[in-house]
Amino acid sequence: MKTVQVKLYLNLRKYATPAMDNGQGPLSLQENHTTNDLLAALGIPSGEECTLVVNNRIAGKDLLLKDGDQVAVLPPVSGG
Amino acid sequence: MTFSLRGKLLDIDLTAGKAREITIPEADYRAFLGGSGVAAKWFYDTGKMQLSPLDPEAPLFVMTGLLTGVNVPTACKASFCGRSPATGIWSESTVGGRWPSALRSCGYDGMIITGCSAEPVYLYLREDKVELREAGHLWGKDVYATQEAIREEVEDENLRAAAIGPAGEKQVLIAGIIIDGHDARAAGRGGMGAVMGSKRLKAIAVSKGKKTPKPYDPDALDRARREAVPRIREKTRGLTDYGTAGGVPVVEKLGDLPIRNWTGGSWTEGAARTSGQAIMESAGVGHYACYRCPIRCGKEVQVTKGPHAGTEAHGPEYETAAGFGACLLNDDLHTIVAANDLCNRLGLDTMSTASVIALAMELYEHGLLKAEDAAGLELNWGNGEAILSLVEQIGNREGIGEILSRGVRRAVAHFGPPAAEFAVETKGLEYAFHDPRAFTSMALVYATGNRGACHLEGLTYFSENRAFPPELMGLEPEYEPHGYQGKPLLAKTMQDYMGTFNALGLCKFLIRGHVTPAEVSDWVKACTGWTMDAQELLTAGERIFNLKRLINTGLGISRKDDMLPPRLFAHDRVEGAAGGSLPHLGKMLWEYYRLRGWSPEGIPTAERLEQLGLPSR
Repeated sequence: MKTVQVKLYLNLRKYATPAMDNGQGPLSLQENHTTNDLLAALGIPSGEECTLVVNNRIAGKDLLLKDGDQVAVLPPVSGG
Repeated sequence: MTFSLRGKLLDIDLTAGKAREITIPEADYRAFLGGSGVAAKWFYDTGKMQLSPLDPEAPLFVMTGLLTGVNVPTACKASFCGRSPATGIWSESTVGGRWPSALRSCGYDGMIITGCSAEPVYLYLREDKVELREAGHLWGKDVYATQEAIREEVEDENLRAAAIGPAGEKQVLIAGIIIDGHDARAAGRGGMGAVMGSKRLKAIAVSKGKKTPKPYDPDALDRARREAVPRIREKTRGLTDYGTAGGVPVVEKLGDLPIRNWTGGSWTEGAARTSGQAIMESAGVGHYACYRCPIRCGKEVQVTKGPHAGTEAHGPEYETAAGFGACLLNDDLHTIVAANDLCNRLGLDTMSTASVIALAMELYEHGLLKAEDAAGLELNWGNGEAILSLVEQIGNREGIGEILSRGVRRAVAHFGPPAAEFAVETKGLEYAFHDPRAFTSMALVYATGNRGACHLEGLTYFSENRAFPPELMGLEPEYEPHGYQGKPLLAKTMQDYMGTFNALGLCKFLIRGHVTPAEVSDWVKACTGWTMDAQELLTAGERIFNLKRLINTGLGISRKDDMLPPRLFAHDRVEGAAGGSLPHLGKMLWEYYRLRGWSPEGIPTAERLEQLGLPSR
């Protein structure tokens, strides 16, 4: 098992787990889990557009996550 | 069936104090759609492009869009077009709110204003009527007071005005035109407020009429609207709740915020403190929607700082929050709210004003501008008192504001080397606050934008982060975040599509609601009775884009001007999601020109112009 720190932004906070506070908190994953698995673990459907930023780098959906990774899950919002 | 959307155009000579009505041929509407498209056509045809922008005979085009006022989602826009005194090239500044639809309800599609009145005047329009009225008593008033005074004068409490404030009167080169008084929507960019000021035209006031054009097929339009509106509402809910500024924390995480005059990499806490959510929780009092808009992104706030503390005002948009927030390293939202309100009252473009203040703060940091040069102000990053004071000095051309009121490019020329290191502008227009190092297709959008460093001419950051999925335009669904492959086609395609919006009078946030060219062309068909498919719509957008380029190449623009400033081209953000990313402009530009059918020097070829039905130079 590994634990990553997740921060959900704006409307994606509705996918927060009970362990999270204000859309932010730890999430336990299997050792072989990727960013795609993280989205599935949060219950974010594949049709929900979002961008993942892992340790301050934009990440694809198949990135193998490491213990302690910081993962931001962003909706497709870009100001005006 | 005759083309029912066409109204009259007013040809107004302020020197002679006369107005006459003219009619735009339907062929011009078909080819250039309306709004800024038709304005570009008529501007080109006048042969007056070479006139100095502040020459009395330089024309100012005020045009509603083809669909403005009709019952089409967000059909609320008008454009102020001509040659910009800030950049010296083509300029269009588009604004929503309720004034444009009121103008169209009077039976007018717009006006061409030339000349200069001997004394200050304002235009007053009612249904089929226009008159010039003396405005000496309004000169010096701010924008809000101007609309209020005209309302009392003509006894119409619902009157709407497009007005300049003291900044436009004093021909501040970053002055905008503000509409709807306190509701304050801004045609901010390009200094068109200075053009109105140079003509001694204080305001264009409108009492609503009943001559809004009727659509050709109201049933088809109604069906199309019912299909579109629920989807637009659902996909833009964030804008509805928190306005455009709700995106501040998200773009910060993507490396898109212009932190500390574009030198910073991360500003997470600051972004949270200056977000739309924070603004609404701390200062919000209500919401505001433009005419026919299902999105309702406008916000109303309480002003708690500055000379107008205690009043209510229009809330800061994303660009204003990013400019007066991250760009100045100011995390006090109340200063942002007050600066926004001051800009609106004075009639200043918030984006250029924040940019030129960022320049001043960086000059101060490096000892090139001292407190004694700025009336004793310590221009430290984030100094809210200094920010508000500089806004007033710029708007009134007082003190150091005299230099800063000329915009970044001219201010840099004043301060000399190495001030150019801190300048963030292209073709003389200060940047919108989205970083081409984060969304590299934006490098092309900024470099080739017809009015300078404009984000709205392409909005490809919406495509890159899938707020407007690229496959809806028939493009690749995903792009390497900081790469260059495929981005020239993305930039060109989106520029062509976005070029139709200012012509049609539509808000570009429709693409956040996934509105496609096929859908827009259906609306045009239902409104006009024309046959027009998605490809024909995009070809019209391409024609419009090329005509504006043609105007600009006639003014000396070429590849040498399609550039990024050193800060965005060669300065690594280092930290954050865009750290290490620098846009491959040279590689992208070559392919972009090829797709456009332009020469390697960035000049439209005779062959492409002919294909588009445009004159060959």
